[in-house]
Amino acid sequence: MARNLYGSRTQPNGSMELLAWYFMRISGIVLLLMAVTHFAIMHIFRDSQTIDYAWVAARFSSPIWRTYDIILLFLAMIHGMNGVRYVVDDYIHHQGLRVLALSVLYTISLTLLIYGMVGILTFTPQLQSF
Amino acid sequence: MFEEIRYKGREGMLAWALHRFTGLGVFFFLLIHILEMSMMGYSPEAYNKALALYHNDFFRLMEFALGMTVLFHALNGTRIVLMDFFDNLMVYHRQMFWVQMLVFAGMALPAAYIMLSPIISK
Repeated sequence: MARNLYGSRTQPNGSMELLAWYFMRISGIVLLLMAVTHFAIMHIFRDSQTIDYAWVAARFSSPIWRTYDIILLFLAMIHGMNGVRYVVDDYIHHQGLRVLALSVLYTISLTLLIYGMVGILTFTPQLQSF
Repeated sequence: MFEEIRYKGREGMLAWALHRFTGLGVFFFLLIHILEMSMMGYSPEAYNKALALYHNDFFRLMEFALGMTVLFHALNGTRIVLMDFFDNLMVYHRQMFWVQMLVFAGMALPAAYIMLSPIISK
């Protein structure tokens, strides 16, 4: 990975690597707004310890919040997965081990991404038993 | 020559190392967060049971740590994006780091007051 005078990643030439480079920056800006807002809603403007099933179910009755959460989940997971890929590429030099580490990373990340998105899309509230 | 100054230390390296640690930390939390949220699909009891793990003072502290981790990563990422798209700013990366830390402190202190006072007021 080419680095500039100050050590940060310079804009790469390859098409996939360039796409990843742009994705990290564009998703980063979107995540800055969406993730910090998400955290503020859950922890600053309310006491997070009052959150329960009924509250989240009521929140998911709005398609806007479902859409918000799906976009946030998608961007965060791909941004995080690519970030961990940079770390793996930086430290694991043995090719076999690197392929193994990346395979584990992609499998876990993409499985949980799909699991989470399906969960948000298919959620139907259940009557709470008291 | 570029390789030699890659790990020269000071603010640049500190910011780089913290960006990496905070990024890995948030990614790890995201994996747990998906698993805990997936309990919503099983039953109200399962979800409330999963949340009960978070409902104590230790996790108040951990949630605050999570917030600060996200905040640092977000602000430092903004600095990286600004330097990437406006080349001339790179010269001031050190000054920008300290401005970023001032913004961080400005947001962290009220967040600490709001998020941690329930622990103290007990």
